[in-house]
Amino acid sequence: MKLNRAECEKTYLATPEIQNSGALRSNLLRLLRSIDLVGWSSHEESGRLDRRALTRFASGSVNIFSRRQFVEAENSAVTVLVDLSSSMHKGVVKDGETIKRIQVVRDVTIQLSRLLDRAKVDFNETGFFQSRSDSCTDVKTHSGETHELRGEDCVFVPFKQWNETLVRCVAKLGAITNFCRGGTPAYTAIERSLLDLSKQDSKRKILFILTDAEAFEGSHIKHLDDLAERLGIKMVAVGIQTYDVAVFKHHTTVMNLQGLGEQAFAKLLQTLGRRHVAS
Amino acid sequence: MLGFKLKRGVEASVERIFKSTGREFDSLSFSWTGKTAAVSFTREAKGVVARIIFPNLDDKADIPESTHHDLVGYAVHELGHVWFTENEPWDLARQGYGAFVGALINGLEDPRIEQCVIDSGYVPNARVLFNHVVRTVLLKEGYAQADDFKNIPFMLAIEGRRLNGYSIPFPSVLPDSPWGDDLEWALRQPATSTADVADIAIELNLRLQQKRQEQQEQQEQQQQQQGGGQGGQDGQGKPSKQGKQGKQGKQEEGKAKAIELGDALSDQLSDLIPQGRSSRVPIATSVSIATFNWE
Repeated sequence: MKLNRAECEKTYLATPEIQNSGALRSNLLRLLRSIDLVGWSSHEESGRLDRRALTRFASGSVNIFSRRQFVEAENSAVTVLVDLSSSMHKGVVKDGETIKRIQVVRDVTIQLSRLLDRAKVDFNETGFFQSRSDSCTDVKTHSGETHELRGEDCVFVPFKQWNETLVRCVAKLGAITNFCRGGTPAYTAIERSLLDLSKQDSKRKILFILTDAEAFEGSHIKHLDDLAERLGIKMVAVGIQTYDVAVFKHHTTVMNLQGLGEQAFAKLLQTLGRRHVAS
Repeated sequence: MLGFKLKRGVEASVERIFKSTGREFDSLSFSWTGKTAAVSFTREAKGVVARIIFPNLDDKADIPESTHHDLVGYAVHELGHVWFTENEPWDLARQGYGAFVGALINGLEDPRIEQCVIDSGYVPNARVLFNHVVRTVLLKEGYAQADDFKNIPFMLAIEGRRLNGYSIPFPSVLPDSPWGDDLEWALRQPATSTADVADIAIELNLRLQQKRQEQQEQQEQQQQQQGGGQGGQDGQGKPSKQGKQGKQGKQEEGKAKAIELGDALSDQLSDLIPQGRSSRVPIATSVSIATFNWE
């Protein structure tokens, strides 16, 4: 399928700001911002003479020097994983207009990317879908053993890759709605994203999943949650009109599509360990 | 190394090694759900369709470096099958003559394909890797008793590798085995393909069955002469000196299972992950990246 670059760029630029999320966004921005801090430490025994310590010098104190101090920023790496299964075409009718899940997800993804870019966070935005249905095959080996294998076929759509500038991805992010099809290979997509994210050097790593999938296999998700913990990754699932994401350790469900942006930001903020100021 | 990363590393290695020989997989999938390593493959026009099965391995466990080497060794071994084994003669022999012939073919084919991998130079350190795997298995499992009929395929696999020049930590059991001459004959036959190996295995099976029948008749005659109430030997020949080595001394005919090369690894890893069928995670049959097709 051919995509029109100009139209996709226009879609990106026309994406509205998410309502009632100003405070949330500024809190998130503050939390994610990666800035190296430079300051001065006082009460040192060597360094530059601290004029404010001269009174202490008069009383015989020797720690009257100050030194330049450099605190390296705590970098964050964020992966936003977007479910592009065909069910994302579903939506709600409001004022005679259908709002599709994928349209809302596109808006949230674009807002998130703007925010993360401003916070100088290295981030990656990837969609995923399954082009064929689950395959269940019995594999017989030469030794006569039979293995039952359930296979998932996963296609990733790299809307924004690591180290790619946001400007270069504008059209791709605007084209999110064009890739909706097939099923949800959740396990494979999350597992591969965890592996990819674990390779990043950043201190804080967050995997953010936007999905409307139902009937997750609880033991599989628990396994992925444990794995994420071992890899030092915080995994947050945002369920769109589904409560099935409750199997994830960090999750939230959004029933009202218009609340998706606000709740998604709130959940991200909560996961990062800050209570947000009332929005 | 974390099991999760190790798995992806081994999978990537398999794909890269195979591609480096100028071949392509049409489809390659891995399953970490087996008890031992195995491969199932077909050669299609587009490329090879392969499913490689590895022993259960916990994603969250810290896997020691030696197990990593073993896994790479197993992976290269399975790739050796994809490169040098033909399915048809093996499957036909198995269907026509039974599972034991299939196991004999496996015992003879494994050393053959490993030697082919070493000679081909596809994997420069293949000999070291294979040797490491065999030593791990033998040091963990011990060697088979010389008169243990069901472990004949294992003996063939080990003795064949000894002929390949590997350093085997146990002396040969063939001199003490009641079927030593036949096994020696099978191992010395020139085989350049799986079809040759299948022919040798069928012939070997015939010889072994004949000899076994003769031994059973002899045993019956002895029992009749002794009045049938003395018990004594089980007709499997004298217990060998090798029988006291390793863990095989504990095994009794009819109770113990036949050893397979992957057993050591499987035992090592099987306690690390739940074995239940329902807990099996899906495997990624194909992972691809979509492209943006701009006007």
